[in-house]
Amino acid sequence: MSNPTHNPSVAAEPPPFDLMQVPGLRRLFHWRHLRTVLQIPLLIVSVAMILDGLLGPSLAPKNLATTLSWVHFRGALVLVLLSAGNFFCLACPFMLVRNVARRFFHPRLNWPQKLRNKWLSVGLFALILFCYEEFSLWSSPWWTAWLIIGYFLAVLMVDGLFKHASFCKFVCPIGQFNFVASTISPLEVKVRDLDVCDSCGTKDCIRGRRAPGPDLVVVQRGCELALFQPLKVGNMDCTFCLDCVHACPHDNIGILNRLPASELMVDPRRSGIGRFSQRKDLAALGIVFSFGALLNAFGMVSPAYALESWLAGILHVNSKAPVLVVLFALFLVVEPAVLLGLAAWLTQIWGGSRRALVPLAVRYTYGLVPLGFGMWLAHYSFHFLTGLYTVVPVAQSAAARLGWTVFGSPRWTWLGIPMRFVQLLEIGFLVLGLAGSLLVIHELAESDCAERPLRAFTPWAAVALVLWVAAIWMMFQPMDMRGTFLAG
Amino acid sequence: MGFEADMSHPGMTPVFGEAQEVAPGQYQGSLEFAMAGDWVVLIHVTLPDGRTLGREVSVPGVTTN
Repeated sequence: MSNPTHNPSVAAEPPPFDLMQVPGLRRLFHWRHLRTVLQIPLLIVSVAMILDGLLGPSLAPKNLATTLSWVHFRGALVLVLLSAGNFFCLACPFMLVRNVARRFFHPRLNWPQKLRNKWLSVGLFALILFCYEEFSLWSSPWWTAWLIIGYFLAVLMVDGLFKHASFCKFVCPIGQFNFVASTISPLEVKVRDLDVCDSCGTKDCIRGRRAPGPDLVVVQRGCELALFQPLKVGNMDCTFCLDCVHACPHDNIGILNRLPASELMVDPRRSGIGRFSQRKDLAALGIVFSFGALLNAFGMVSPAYALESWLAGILHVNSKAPVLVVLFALFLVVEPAVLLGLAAWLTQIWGGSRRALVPLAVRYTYGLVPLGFGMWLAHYSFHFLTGLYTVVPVAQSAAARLGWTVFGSPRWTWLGIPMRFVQLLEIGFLVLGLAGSLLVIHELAESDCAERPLRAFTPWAAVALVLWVAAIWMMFQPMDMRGTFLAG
Repeated sequence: MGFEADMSHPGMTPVFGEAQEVAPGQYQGSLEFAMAGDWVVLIHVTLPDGRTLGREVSVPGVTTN
């Protein structure tokens, strides 16, 4: 058990910071309607994005759908994940619609046993990255609006048919991104004192509470993602929905701080998840997260278009899709297979690890997550900070189209923080990501090969370094954003 | 007559310019694209009677020198 409150030898340590103990926040987080109140504004914004995407200007920088999706939402998301935790899932507007729908439709089915893993969501995550390039989603308000509509429909369909939070746990690509990224977050929804859980007879944190009577109406949900708090480790699969906080009869669950990425350094059996080292699907998610971060950023720089044009020539094709299929196969399958396979093989023969190649690769893949997150941070915060104020004229323009002149004429010269300052921050994020990866890899190597940890550490550190150098190289390439590389 | 050029990606720096009348009915101006990529040039025209006109011109695949 990793919870220090359960270990008498470290009981003298000061209790960790608990966000829910901050004056004012305690009542707020215990308020049953907090989630709904956070979801309503995001739902209103989502509807505005859909309407503007379908009916507003076709030029992406002038449209709410594209500006908010690809500049503000992504940037705010990664910065909140870095500085706090998975609070976007807490405020997810899709779940508000689902909760309303579930007042009328009660799902009867359990999510199929064969799909109780991350493979489907790994595929969807990769598919969204692919569609982003194929349909140049960043430049299309119409496609962006349909993506949001598709998301609402998918939530309603999946959670309309299947019980619990099937969509969040097994389908949602944004959720999977948040789950992986939140392993780096400094905050975690966690039991305060495990001794209290040991004496708890209700297990309401996972079972929830039902009203007495023949109908057994649920009055408070337990964890819909099957995370039993006393055995929960880290943020994986946690949506910060706070159902467990509201269900716990002992007020024994808080939002506690911890060392970011510390959950990647250990491999206990986790409630609702199992051991990371035995989850090939989770490792695949980590691969798409980490290598996809580089691939997604690569689409923004000039060499990407030279490579795509060259590939199109070799393949004798005039359309984008086959070129992207090859690129995605190279960067999300071949490159990870070669790098991780080579590192695993070296760990075996040089480090003396007795694990087989695939389990070794699975175990150490999680070490690349901090670096991947550093890349997502560098990329998304770049757009967010350099285009920070662009939402103002876009909103002014949308309001003016509705005849609301109270916000004044759009100030199209409002941009954001100058690029030269943001670039420094990007380098900082990448350095932090590399440092985090090296730390996680080091801890894994120490625990695997206590006698020769350096020999287990070196191959994986080399992989992290190769990816980091690639990320830094990308940052200094001239930016180039187009959806027309074959015509250009 | 004014120009505005935007990238296809939202949030990127737009560039602005003014056009001068070089002959009756002919206007000339220049814009410097700040980076490579797909651009869209918006032309804003104010007529003598105060009416405004707008036109969009796509400039795809701008490359660096």
